[in-house]
Amino acid sequence: MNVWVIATNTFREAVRNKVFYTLLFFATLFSGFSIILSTMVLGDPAHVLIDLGLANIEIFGTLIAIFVGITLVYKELQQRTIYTIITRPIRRHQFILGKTLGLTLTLVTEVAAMSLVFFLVLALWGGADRIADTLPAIWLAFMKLALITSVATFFSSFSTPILSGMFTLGFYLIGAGSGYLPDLVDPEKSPVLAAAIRLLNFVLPDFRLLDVKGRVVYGDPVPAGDVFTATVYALFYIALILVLAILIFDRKDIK
Amino acid sequence: MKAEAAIELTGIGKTFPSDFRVRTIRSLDQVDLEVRRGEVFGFIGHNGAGKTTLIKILTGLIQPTTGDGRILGRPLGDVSVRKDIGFLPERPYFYDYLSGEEALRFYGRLSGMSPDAIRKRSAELLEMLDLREAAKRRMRTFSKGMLQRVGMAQAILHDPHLVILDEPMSGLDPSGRGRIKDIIRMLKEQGKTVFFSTHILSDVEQLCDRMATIAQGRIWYTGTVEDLLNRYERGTRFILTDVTDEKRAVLENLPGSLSEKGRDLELSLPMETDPNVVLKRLVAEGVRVERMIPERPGLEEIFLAEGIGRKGDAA
Repeated sequence: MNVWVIATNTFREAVRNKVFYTLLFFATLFSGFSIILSTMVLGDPAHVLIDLGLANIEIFGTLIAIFVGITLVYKELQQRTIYTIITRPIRRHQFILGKTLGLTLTLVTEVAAMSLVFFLVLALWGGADRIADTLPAIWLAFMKLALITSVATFFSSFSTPILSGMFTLGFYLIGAGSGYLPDLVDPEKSPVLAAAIRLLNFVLPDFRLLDVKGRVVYGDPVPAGDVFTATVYALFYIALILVLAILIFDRKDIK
Repeated sequence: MKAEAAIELTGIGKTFPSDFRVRTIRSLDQVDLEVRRGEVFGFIGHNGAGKTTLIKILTGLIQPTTGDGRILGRPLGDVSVRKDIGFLPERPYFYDYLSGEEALRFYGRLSGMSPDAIRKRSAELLEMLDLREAAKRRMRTFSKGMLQRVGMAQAILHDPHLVILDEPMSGLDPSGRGRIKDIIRMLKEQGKTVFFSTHILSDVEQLCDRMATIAQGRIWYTGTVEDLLNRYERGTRFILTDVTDEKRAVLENLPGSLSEKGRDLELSLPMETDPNVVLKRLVAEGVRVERMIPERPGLEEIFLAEGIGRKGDAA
Protein backbone atom coordinates (compact mmCIF):
# COMPACT_ATOMS: atom_id res chain seq x y z
CA MET A 1 0.00 0.00 0.00
CA ASN A 2 2.71 2.49 1.03
CA VAL A 3 4.74 1.66 -2.08
CA TRP A 4 1.71 2.44 -4.23
CA VAL A 5 0.99 5.73 -2.42
CA ILE A 6 4.56 6.91 -2.99
CA ALA A 7 4.55 5.61 -6.57
CA THR A 8 1.35 7.44 -7.52
CA ASN A 9 2.65 10.62 -5.95
CA THR A 10 5.95 10.34 -7.84
CA PHE A 11 3.98 9.78 -11.03
CA ARG A 12 1.88 12.85 -10.27
CA GLU A 13 5.04 14.91 -9.74
CA ALA A 14 6.40 13.81 -13.14
CA VAL A 15 3.22 14.50 -15.08
CA ARG A 16 2.89 17.93 -13.45
CA ASN A 17 6.40 18.75 -14.56
CA LYS A 18 6.82 20.82 -17.71
CA VAL A 19 9.98 18.91 -18.66
CA PHE A 20 7.90 15.78 -19.18
CA TYR A 21 5.68 17.53 -21.73
CA THR A 22 8.63 19.24 -23.38
CA LEU A 23 10.25 15.86 -23.96
CA LEU A 24 6.97 14.43 -25.26
CA PHE A 25 6.64 17.40 -27.60
CA PHE A 26 10.12 16.88 -29.03
CA ALA A 27 9.50 13.15 -29.30
CA THR A 28 6.40 13.86 -31.38
CA LEU A 29 8.35 16.36 -33.46
CA PHE A 30 10.97 13.70 -34.06
CA SER A 31 8.21 11.35 -35.31
CA GLY A 32 7.30 13.98 -37.88
CA PHE A 33 10.93 14.17 -38.88
CA SER A 34 11.00 10.39 -39.42
CA ILE A 35 8.09 10.75 -41.87
CA ILE A 36 10.00 13.31 -43.93
CA LEU A 37 13.13 11.16 -43.84
CA SER A 38 11.23 8.04 -44.95
CA THR A 39 10.15 9.80 -48.14
CA MET A 40 13.73 10.68 -48.98
CA VAL A 41 15.28 7.19 -48.89
CA LEU A 42 15.22 4.42 -51.41
CA GLY A 43 13.44 1.17 -50.61
CA ASP A 44 10.71 0.44 -48.11
CA PRO A 45 9.84 3.63 -46.16
CA ALA A 46 8.37 1.46 -43.39
CA HIS A 47 11.91 0.32 -42.53
CA VAL A 48 12.92 3.91 -41.82
CA LEU A 49 9.72 4.66 -39.95
CA ILE A 50 10.11 1.59 -37.74
CA ASP A 51 13.82 2.14 -37.18
CA LEU A 52 13.45 5.80 -36.24
CA GLY A 53 10.19 5.27 -34.36
CA LEU A 54 11.69 2.62 -32.09
CA ALA A 55 14.88 4.65 -31.62
CA ASN A 56 12.71 7.62 -30.76
CA ILE A 57 10.90 5.75 -27.99
CA GLU A 58 14.18 4.53 -26.55
CA ILE A 59 16.10 7.80 -26.75
CA PHE A 60 13.41 9.98 -25.17
CA GLY A 61 12.59 7.27 -22.64
CA THR A 62 16.27 7.09 -21.68
CA LEU A 63 16.40 10.88 -21.30
CA ILE A 64 13.39 10.82 -18.94
CA ALA A 65 14.75 7.81 -17.03
CA ILE A 66 18.14 9.43 -16.51
CA PHE A 67 17.08 13.04 -15.92
CA VAL A 68 14.24 12.22 -13.55
CA GLY A 69 15.93 9.17 -12.04
CA ILE A 70 19.16 10.88 -10.94
CA THR A 71 17.25 13.40 -8.82
CA LEU A 72 14.58 10.98 -7.66
CA VAL A 73 15.89 10.38 -4.12
CA TYR A 74 18.51 13.13 -4.02
CA LYS A 75 15.90 15.87 -4.43
CA GLU A 76 13.86 14.44 -1.57
CA LEU A 77 16.92 14.63 0.66
CA GLN A 78 18.01 18.09 -0.48
CA GLN A 79 14.55 19.63 -0.32
CA ARG A 80 13.82 17.74 2.91
CA THR A 81 10.44 16.57 1.65
CA ILE A 82 11.50 13.13 2.84
CA TYR A 83 11.29 14.23 6.51
CA THR A 84 7.51 14.09 6.65
CA ILE A 85 7.40 10.79 4.75
CA ILE A 86 10.04 8.56 6.26
CA THR A 87 8.88 9.53 9.78
CA ARG A 88 5.53 7.85 9.10
CA PRO A 89 4.91 4.14 9.51
CA ILE A 90 6.68 3.25 6.29
CA ARG A 91 9.88 1.34 5.78
CA ARG A 92 12.74 2.77 3.83
CA HIS A 93 12.66 0.02 1.22
CA GLN A 94 9.02 0.94 0.57
CA PHE A 95 10.15 4.49 -0.15
CA ILE A 96 12.81 3.37 -2.65
CA LEU A 97 10.45 0.90 -4.32
CA GLY A 98 7.68 3.51 -4.45
CA LYS A 99 9.91 6.12 -6.05
CA THR A 100 11.21 3.62 -8.62
CA LEU A 101 7.73 2.33 -9.39
CA GLY A 102 6.47 5.91 -9.77
CA LEU A 103 9.12 6.72 -12.33
CA THR A 104 8.45 3.41 -14.09
CA LEU A 105 4.76 4.35 -14.31
CA THR A 106 5.84 7.65 -15.86
CA LEU A 107 7.86 5.73 -18.42
CA VAL A 108 4.88 3.44 -19.13
CA THR A 109 2.90 6.59 -19.94
CA GLU A 110 5.69 8.01 -22.07
CA VAL A 111 6.25 4.76 -23.96
CA ALA A 112 2.49 4.28 -24.44
CA ALA A 113 2.00 7.85 -25.73
CA MET A 114 4.96 7.64 -28.08
CA SER A 115 3.97 4.18 -29.28
CA LEU A 116 0.52 5.47 -30.16
CA VAL A 117 2.03 8.28 -32.22
CA PHE A 118 4.41 5.75 -33.79
CA PHE A 119 1.58 3.32 -34.64
CA LEU A 120 -0.47 6.16 -36.10
CA VAL A 121 2.42 7.30 -38.31
CA LEU A 122 3.11 3.72 -39.39
CA ALA A 123 -0.56 3.04 -40.18
CA LEU A 124 -0.94 6.26 -42.19
CA TRP A 125 2.19 5.57 -44.24
CA GLY A 126 1.20 2.05 -45.21
CA GLY A 127 2.85 0.02 -42.48
CA ALA A 128 -0.24 -0.99 -40.47
CA ASP A 129 0.53 -4.67 -40.97
CA ARG A 130 3.93 -4.20 -39.26
CA ILE A 131 2.57 -2.75 -36.00
CA ALA A 132 2.23 -6.12 -34.26
CA ASP A 133 5.84 -6.99 -35.20
CA THR A 134 7.14 -3.96 -33.34
CA LEU A 135 5.55 -4.90 -30.00
CA PRO A 136 8.42 -7.14 -28.76
CA ALA A 137 10.91 -4.35 -29.51
CA ILE A 138 8.80 -1.78 -27.67
CA TRP A 139 8.37 -4.10 -24.69
CA LEU A 140 12.11 -4.80 -24.45
CA ALA A 141 12.93 -1.10 -24.90
CA PHE A 142 10.65 -0.48 -21.94
CA MET A 143 12.47 -3.16 -19.92
CA LYS A 144 15.74 -1.42 -20.73
CA LEU A 145 14.27 1.89 -19.54
CA ALA A 146 13.08 0.24 -16.31
CA LEU A 147 16.60 -1.07 -15.80
CA ILE A 148 18.11 2.39 -16.37
CA THR A 149 15.54 3.83 -13.95
CA SER A 150 16.60 1.42 -11.23
CA VAL A 151 20.26 2.26 -11.82
CA ALA A 152 19.56 6.01 -11.68
CA THR A 153 17.57 5.48 -8.47
CA PHE A 154 20.44 3.46 -7.01
CA PHE A 155 22.98 6.23 -7.64
CA SER A 156 20.51 8.92 -6.60
CA SER A 157 20.15 7.33 -3.16
CA PHE A 158 23.72 8.27 -2.19
CA SER A 159 25.17 10.56 -4.82
CA THR A 160 24.69 14.01 -6.37
CA PRO A 161 22.70 14.33 -9.62
CA ILE A 162 25.84 15.15 -11.65
CA LEU A 163 27.71 12.09 -10.43
CA SER A 164 24.58 9.95 -10.67
CA GLY A 165 24.07 11.15 -14.24
CA MET A 166 27.65 10.29 -15.15
CA PHE A 167 27.45 6.87 -13.49
CA THR A 168 24.09 6.06 -15.08
CA LEU A 169 25.28 7.16 -18.49
CA GLY A 170 28.38 5.04 -17.94
CA PHE A 171 26.16 2.08 -17.07
CA TYR A 172 24.16 2.68 -20.24
CA LEU A 173 27.28 2.80 -22.40
CA ILE A 174 28.74 -0.29 -20.74
CA GLY A 175 25.42 -2.06 -21.29
CA ALA A 176 25.49 -1.12 -24.94
CA GLY A 177 29.07 -2.27 -25.47
CA SER A 178 29.82 -5.04 -22.95
CA GLY A 179 28.40 -7.74 -25.20
CA TYR A 180 31.25 -7.16 -27.63
CA LEU A 181 34.00 -7.50 -25.00
CA PRO A 182 34.65 -11.26 -25.56
CA ASP A 183 35.27 -10.54 -29.24
CA LEU A 184 38.29 -8.43 -28.30
CA VAL A 185 40.33 -11.33 -26.89
CA ASP A 186 41.37 -14.59 -28.49
CA PRO A 187 40.78 -17.27 -25.81
CA GLU A 188 43.50 -19.49 -27.27
CA LYS A 189 46.16 -16.80 -27.03
CA SER A 190 45.11 -15.28 -23.68
CA PRO A 191 42.99 -17.80 -21.78
CA VAL A 192 43.23 -15.96 -18.43
CA LEU A 193 42.25 -12.61 -19.91
CA ALA A 194 39.47 -14.26 -21.87
CA ALA A 195 38.13 -15.90 -18.68
CA ALA A 196 38.31 -12.55 -16.86
CA ILE A 197 36.41 -10.86 -19.66
CA ARG A 198 33.81 -13.61 -19.69
CA LEU A 199 33.32 -13.03 -15.94
CA LEU A 200 33.13 -9.28 -16.50
CA ASN A 201 30.69 -9.84 -19.31
CA PHE A 202 28.57 -11.94 -16.96
CA VAL A 203 28.52 -9.27 -14.23
CA LEU A 204 28.10 -6.20 -16.45
CA PRO A 205 24.76 -5.48 -18.06
CA ASP A 206 24.38 -6.61 -21.66
CA PHE A 207 21.75 -4.67 -23.54
CA ARG A 208 22.13 -6.79 -26.68
CA LEU A 209 19.58 -9.19 -25.18
CA LEU A 210 17.09 -6.34 -24.89
CA ASP A 211 17.72 -4.90 -28.33
CA VAL A 212 15.72 -6.63 -31.06
CA LYS A 213 15.20 -3.47 -33.09
CA GLY A 214 17.34 -4.64 -36.00
CA ARG A 215 15.40 -7.88 -36.29
CA VAL A 216 12.06 -6.08 -36.16
CA VAL A 217 13.06 -3.51 -38.78
CA TYR A 218 13.94 -6.22 -41.28
CA GLY A 219 10.91 -8.31 -40.45
CA ASP A 220 12.80 -11.17 -38.76
CA PRO A 221 10.56 -12.87 -36.22
CA VAL A 222 11.41 -12.45 -32.54
CA PRO A 223 10.52 -15.71 -30.77
CA ALA A 224 8.50 -15.40 -27.56
CA GLY A 225 11.23 -17.38 -25.79
CA ASP A 226 13.78 -14.67 -26.56
CA VAL A 227 11.46 -11.97 -25.24
CA PHE A 228 10.83 -14.02 -22.10
CA THR A 229 14.54 -14.65 -21.48
CA ALA A 230 15.40 -10.99 -21.99
CA THR A 231 12.55 -9.93 -19.68
CA VAL A 232 13.71 -12.29 -16.93
CA TYR A 233 17.28 -11.01 -17.40
CA ALA A 234 16.17 -7.38 -17.04
CA LEU A 235 13.96 -8.12 -14.04
CA PHE A 236 16.77 -9.98 -12.33
CA TYR A 237 19.15 -7.07 -12.89
CA ILE A 238 16.55 -4.55 -11.69
CA ALA A 239 15.95 -6.60 -8.54
CA LEU A 240 19.68 -6.84 -7.86
CA ILE A 241 20.23 -3.11 -8.24
CA LEU A 242 17.21 -2.22 -6.12
CA VAL A 243 18.38 -4.54 -3.35
CA LEU A 244 21.73 -2.72 -3.36
CA ALA A 245 19.97 0.67 -3.32
CA ILE A 246 17.80 -0.45 -0.39
CA LEU A 247 20.79 -1.80 1.55
CA ILE A 248 22.57 1.55 1.20
CA PHE A 249 19.50 3.69 1.87
CA ASP A 250 18.44 1.61 4.88
CA ARG A 251 21.62 2.53 6.74
CA LYS A 252 21.73 6.13 5.62
CA ASP A 253 21.46 8.96 8.14
CA ILE A 254 18.99 11.46 6.75
CA LYS A 255 20.65 14.66 7.91
CA MET B 1 11.42 1.70 32.24
CA LYS B 2 8.37 3.40 33.65
CA ALA B 3 5.04 2.66 31.99
CA GLU B 4 4.04 6.31 31.85
CA ALA B 5 7.02 7.49 29.83
CA ALA B 6 6.24 8.66 26.31
CA ILE B 7 9.94 8.99 25.58
CA GLU B 8 12.73 7.39 27.54
CA LEU B 9 16.32 7.70 26.37
CA THR B 10 19.45 6.39 28.01
CA GLY B 11 23.00 7.29 27.09
CA ILE B 12 22.18 8.46 23.58
CA GLY B 13 25.21 9.64 21.67
CA LYS B 14 25.69 10.60 18.05
CA THR B 15 28.82 11.29 16.10
CA PHE B 16 29.04 12.25 12.45
CA PRO B 17 32.06 11.86 10.23
CA SER B 18 33.54 15.17 9.15
CA ASP B 19 34.14 16.01 5.48
CA PHE B 20 36.52 13.46 3.97
CA ARG B 21 35.93 11.38 7.11
CA VAL B 22 39.19 12.52 8.69
CA ARG B 23 37.62 12.90 12.13
CA THR B 24 34.28 12.60 13.88
CA ILE B 25 32.07 15.37 15.18
CA ARG B 26 30.19 14.64 18.37
CA SER B 27 26.67 16.01 18.17
CA LEU B 28 25.10 14.29 21.17
CA ASP B 29 26.81 12.93 24.24
CA GLN B 30 25.26 10.62 26.84
CA VAL B 31 21.77 12.03 26.61
CA ASP B 32 19.34 10.68 29.20
CA LEU B 33 15.80 11.97 28.90
CA GLU B 34 12.34 11.09 30.10
CA VAL B 35 9.19 12.69 28.77
CA ARG B 36 6.02 11.67 30.57
CA ARG B 37 2.77 10.89 28.83
CA GLY B 38 0.40 13.81 28.60
CA GLU B 39 2.92 16.56 29.28
CA VAL B 40 4.11 19.42 27.15
CA PHE B 41 7.86 19.16 27.16
CA GLY B 42 10.13 21.94 25.97
CA PHE B 43 13.55 21.16 24.59
CA ILE B 44 15.73 24.22 24.76
CA GLY B 45 19.07 24.98 23.26
CA HIS B 46 20.80 27.44 21.04
CA ASN B 47 21.28 26.79 17.35
CA GLY B 48 23.63 23.89 16.88
CA ALA B 49 23.23 22.59 20.42
CA GLY B 50 22.01 19.18 19.27
CA LYS B 51 18.21 19.63 19.43
CA THR B 52 17.46 18.65 15.85
CA THR B 53 19.88 15.71 16.01
CA LEU B 54 17.98 14.30 18.97
CA ILE B 55 14.65 14.87 17.24
CA LYS B 56 15.94 13.05 14.18
CA ILE B 57 16.88 10.11 16.37
CA LEU B 58 13.40 10.11 17.93
CA THR B 59 11.75 10.14 14.51
CA GLY B 60 14.04 7.52 12.97
CA LEU B 61 15.73 9.80 10.45
CA ILE B 62 19.13 8.98 11.92
CA GLN B 63 20.45 6.20 14.13
CA PRO B 64 22.16 6.87 17.45
CA THR B 65 25.81 5.89 17.68
CA THR B 66 25.40 4.83 21.30
CA GLY B 67 22.57 4.38 23.78
CA ASP B 68 19.09 3.07 23.67
CA GLY B 69 15.56 4.21 24.23
CA ARG B 70 11.86 3.61 24.01
CA ILE B 71 9.07 5.68 22.51
CA LEU B 72 5.50 5.02 23.66
CA GLY B 73 6.76 1.76 25.14
CA ARG B 74 8.37 0.51 21.94
CA PRO B 75 12.07 0.37 21.07
CA LEU B 76 13.70 3.28 19.30
CA GLY B 77 13.64 2.65 15.56
CA ASP B 78 10.44 0.56 15.67
CA VAL B 79 8.57 1.64 12.52
CA SER B 80 5.14 0.61 13.83
CA VAL B 81 5.24 3.20 16.61
CA ARG B 82 5.31 5.98 14.04
CA LYS B 83 1.60 5.72 13.43
CA ASP B 84 1.23 7.17 16.93
CA ILE B 85 3.78 9.93 16.35
CA GLY B 86 3.23 13.23 14.59
CA PHE B 87 6.24 15.21 13.44
CA LEU B 88 6.69 18.77 12.28
CA PRO B 89 10.22 19.37 11.01
CA GLU B 90 11.94 22.72 11.31
CA ARG B 91 11.05 24.83 8.25
CA PRO B 92 8.88 22.10 6.72
CA TYR B 93 9.13 21.46 3.00
CA PHE B 94 6.38 19.88 0.99
CA TYR B 95 5.78 18.85 -2.58
CA ASP B 96 4.93 22.23 -4.04
CA TYR B 97 3.02 20.70 -6.95
CA LEU B 98 0.38 19.44 -4.49
CA SER B 99 -2.46 21.48 -3.08
CA GLY B 100 -2.90 21.62 0.69
CA GLU B 101 -5.75 19.16 0.45
CA GLU B 102 -3.79 16.75 -1.76
CA ALA B 103 -0.83 16.88 0.61
CA LEU B 104 -3.01 15.92 3.57
CA ARG B 105 -4.56 13.08 1.55
CA PHE B 106 -1.06 11.83 0.73
CA TYR B 107 0.11 11.96 4.34
CA GLY B 108 -3.12 10.43 5.60
CA ARG B 109 -2.73 7.47 3.27
CA LEU B 110 0.87 6.98 4.38
CA SER B 111 -0.34 6.97 7.99
CA GLY B 112 -2.80 4.19 7.19
CA MET B 113 -5.97 6.30 7.49
CA SER B 114 -9.12 5.39 5.57
CA PRO B 115 -10.25 7.76 2.77
CA ASP B 116 -13.29 8.77 4.84
CA ALA B 117 -11.21 9.52 7.92
CA ILE B 118 -8.75 11.55 5.82
CA ARG B 119 -11.56 13.61 4.27
CA LYS B 120 -13.20 14.34 7.59
CA ARG B 121 -10.04 15.13 9.51
CA SER B 122 -8.51 17.22 6.68
CA ALA B 123 -11.61 19.39 6.47
CA GLU B 124 -11.53 19.86 10.25
CA LEU B 125 -7.84 20.80 10.32
CA LEU B 126 -7.97 23.07 7.27
CA GLU B 127 -10.79 24.94 8.96
CA MET B 128 -9.03 25.05 12.31
CA LEU B 129 -5.78 26.29 10.80
CA ASP B 130 -7.49 28.83 8.59
CA LEU B 131 -6.38 27.10 5.39
CA ARG B 132 -9.79 26.32 3.91
CA GLU B 133 -9.50 29.00 1.24
CA ALA B 134 -6.09 27.73 0.19
CA ALA B 135 -6.99 24.05 0.30
CA LYS B 136 -7.14 23.68 -3.46
CA ARG B 137 -4.17 25.92 -4.25
CA ARG B 138 -0.79 24.43 -5.05
CA MET B 139 1.61 24.89 -2.17
CA ARG B 140 4.22 26.67 -4.28
CA THR B 141 2.04 29.77 -3.79
CA PHE B 142 1.89 29.42 0.01
CA SER B 143 3.51 31.85 2.42
CA LYS B 144 5.88 30.62 5.11
CA GLY B 145 3.18 30.85 7.74
CA MET B 146 0.78 28.84 5.61
CA LEU B 147 3.40 26.14 5.04
CA GLN B 148 3.99 25.96 8.77
CA ARG B 149 0.25 25.50 9.29
CA VAL B 150 0.15 22.73 6.69
CA GLY B 151 3.10 21.26 8.59
CA MET B 152 1.11 21.34 11.79
CA ALA B 153 -1.92 19.83 10.05
CA GLN B 154 0.06 16.89 8.65
CA ALA B 155 1.66 16.34 12.07
CA ILE B 156 -1.65 15.92 13.90
CA LEU B 157 -3.72 14.58 10.98
CA HIS B 158 -3.67 10.97 12.18
CA ASP B 159 -4.46 11.90 15.79
CA PRO B 160 -1.08 10.78 17.18
CA HIS B 161 -0.40 10.23 20.89
CA LEU B 162 2.98 11.93 20.72
CA VAL B 163 3.58 15.11 18.72
CA ILE B 164 7.18 16.12 18.07
CA LEU B 165 7.67 19.68 16.84
CA ASP B 166 11.04 21.04 15.79
CA GLU B 167 11.12 24.81 16.26
CA PRO B 168 7.39 25.09 15.54
CA MET B 169 7.25 28.86 15.99
CA SER B 170 10.44 29.74 14.20
CA GLY B 171 10.03 32.60 11.75
CA LEU B 172 6.32 33.11 12.36
CA ASP B 173 4.60 36.42 12.98
CA PRO B 174 2.86 36.99 16.34
CA SER B 175 -0.51 35.72 15.12
CA GLY B 176 1.09 32.61 13.63
CA ARG B 177 2.95 31.97 16.87
CA GLY B 178 -0.25 32.45 18.83
CA ARG B 179 -2.06 29.93 16.65
CA ILE B 180 0.64 27.29 17.12
CA LYS B 181 0.60 27.90 20.88
CA ASP B 182 -3.17 27.43 20.91
CA ILE B 183 -2.79 24.11 19.13
CA ILE B 184 -0.18 22.95 21.62
CA ARG B 185 -2.55 23.86 24.45
CA MET B 186 -5.39 22.04 22.69
CA LEU B 187 -3.24 18.93 22.29
CA LYS B 188 -2.41 19.08 25.97
CA GLU B 189 -6.12 19.26 26.82
CA GLN B 190 -6.69 16.20 24.63
CA GLY B 191 -4.13 14.31 26.71
CA LYS B 192 -1.47 14.18 24.00
CA THR B 193 2.22 14.37 24.73
CA VAL B 194 3.92 17.29 23.02
CA PHE B 195 7.68 17.48 22.70
CA PHE B 196 8.91 20.64 21.09
CA SER B 197 12.28 22.20 20.57
CA THR B 198 12.88 25.90 20.61
CA HIS B 199 15.42 28.53 21.39
CA ILE B 200 12.66 30.99 22.28
CA LEU B 201 12.58 30.74 26.03
CA SER B 202 9.36 32.60 26.67
CA ASP B 203 7.49 29.93 24.68
CA VAL B 204 8.69 27.31 27.13
CA GLU B 205 7.74 29.44 30.11
CA GLN B 206 4.23 29.84 28.70
CA LEU B 207 3.53 26.33 27.51
CA CYS B 208 5.60 23.64 29.15
CA ASP B 209 5.05 21.38 32.12
CA ARG B 210 8.67 20.34 32.04
CA MET B 211 11.73 21.12 30.03
CA ALA B 212 15.25 20.04 29.25
CA THR B 213 18.10 22.20 28.16
CA ILE B 214 20.84 21.01 25.87
CA ALA B 215 24.19 22.58 25.12
CA GLN B 216 27.19 21.14 23.33
CA GLY B 217 25.26 17.93 22.87
CA ARG B 218 24.68 17.34 26.57
CA ILE B 219 21.59 17.77 28.68
CA TRP B 220 22.34 20.03 31.59
CA TYR B 221 18.90 20.44 33.12
CA THR B 222 15.68 18.44 33.13
CA GLY B 223 12.74 19.45 35.27
CA THR B 224 10.02 22.04 35.58
CA VAL B 225 10.48 25.58 34.37
CA GLU B 226 9.52 26.73 37.86
CA ASP B 227 12.25 24.70 39.55
CA LEU B 228 14.88 26.05 37.20
CA LEU B 229 13.77 29.62 37.75
CA ASN B 230 13.63 29.11 41.51
CA ARG B 231 17.25 28.04 41.48
CA TYR B 232 18.13 31.49 40.28
CA GLU B 233 15.70 33.44 42.49
CA ARG B 234 17.28 36.67 43.64
CA GLY B 235 14.88 37.81 46.34
CA THR B 236 11.45 39.43 46.50
CA ARG B 237 10.04 42.84 45.69
CA PHE B 238 7.06 44.42 47.45
CA ILE B 239 5.12 47.27 45.86
CA LEU B 240 3.59 49.36 48.64
CA THR B 241 0.97 52.10 48.31
CA ASP B 242 -0.34 54.93 50.50
CA VAL B 243 2.77 54.90 52.71
CA THR B 244 2.73 57.67 55.28
CA ASP B 245 5.94 59.18 56.72
CA GLU B 246 5.29 57.35 59.98
CA LYS B 247 5.03 54.01 58.22
CA ARG B 248 8.01 54.82 56.05
CA ALA B 249 10.15 55.09 59.19
CA VAL B 250 9.10 51.55 60.09
CA LEU B 251 9.95 50.31 56.62
CA GLU B 252 13.42 51.76 56.83
CA ASN B 253 14.16 49.40 59.72
CA LEU B 254 13.28 46.33 57.67
CA PRO B 255 15.93 44.34 55.78
CA GLY B 256 16.31 45.24 52.13
CA SER B 257 16.33 48.49 50.25
CA LEU B 258 13.60 51.04 49.74
CA SER B 259 13.08 53.06 46.60
CA GLU B 260 10.38 55.30 45.19
CA LYS B 261 8.38 54.18 42.17
CA GLY B 262 6.16 57.10 41.24
CA ARG B 263 3.66 57.46 44.08
CA ASP B 264 4.47 53.97 45.37
CA LEU B 265 7.36 52.57 47.31
CA GLU B 266 9.30 49.49 46.36
CA LEU B 267 10.89 47.29 49.00
CA SER B 268 13.49 44.86 47.62
CA LEU B 269 14.39 41.97 49.90
CA PRO B 270 17.63 40.05 49.60
CA MET B 271 17.51 36.30 48.86
CA GLU B 272 18.26 35.28 52.50
CA THR B 273 15.25 37.14 53.96
CA ASP B 274 12.03 35.17 54.26
CA PRO B 275 9.44 37.27 52.40
CA ASN B 276 6.55 35.74 54.39
CA VAL B 277 7.94 37.07 57.66
CA VAL B 278 8.27 40.55 56.14
CA LEU B 279 4.77 40.33 54.66
CA LYS B 280 3.28 39.57 58.10
CA ARG B 281 5.15 42.53 59.57
CA LEU B 282 3.91 44.84 56.82
CA VAL B 283 0.32 43.74 57.34
CA ALA B 284 0.69 44.17 61.10
CA GLU B 285 1.99 47.72 60.57
CA GLY B 286 -1.01 48.51 58.38
CA VAL B 287 1.04 49.03 55.20
CA ARG B 288 -0.92 48.39 52.00
CA VAL B 289 0.89 45.75 49.92
CA GLU B 290 -0.06 46.19 46.31
CA ARG B 291 2.07 43.36 44.91
CA MET B 292 4.62 40.80 46.01
CA ILE B 293 6.98 39.83 43.18
CA PRO B 294 9.57 37.06 43.40
CA GLU B 295 12.65 38.41 41.66
CA ARG B 296 13.69 35.74 39.17
CA PRO B 297 15.69 36.02 36.01
CA GLY B 298 14.21 34.88 32.70
CA LEU B 299 15.55 31.78 31.08
CA GLU B 300 17.52 33.93 28.67
CA GLU B 301 19.39 35.51 31.58
CA ILE B 302 20.04 32.10 33.07
CA PHE B 303 21.43 30.88 29.79
CA LEU B 304 23.68 33.90 29.52
CA ALA B 305 24.76 33.59 33.15
CA GLU B 306 25.67 29.94 32.65
CA GLY B 307 27.53 30.70 29.44
CA ILE B 308 25.38 28.22 27.53
CA GLY B 309 25.21 28.33 23.80
CA ARG B 310 28.46 30.07 23.19
CA LYS B 311 30.82 29.17 20.41
CA GLY B 312 32.02 25.60 20.46
CA ASP B 313 28.60 24.04 20.73
CA ALA B 314 28.09 20.81 18.94
CA ALA B 315 26.77 20.92 15.41
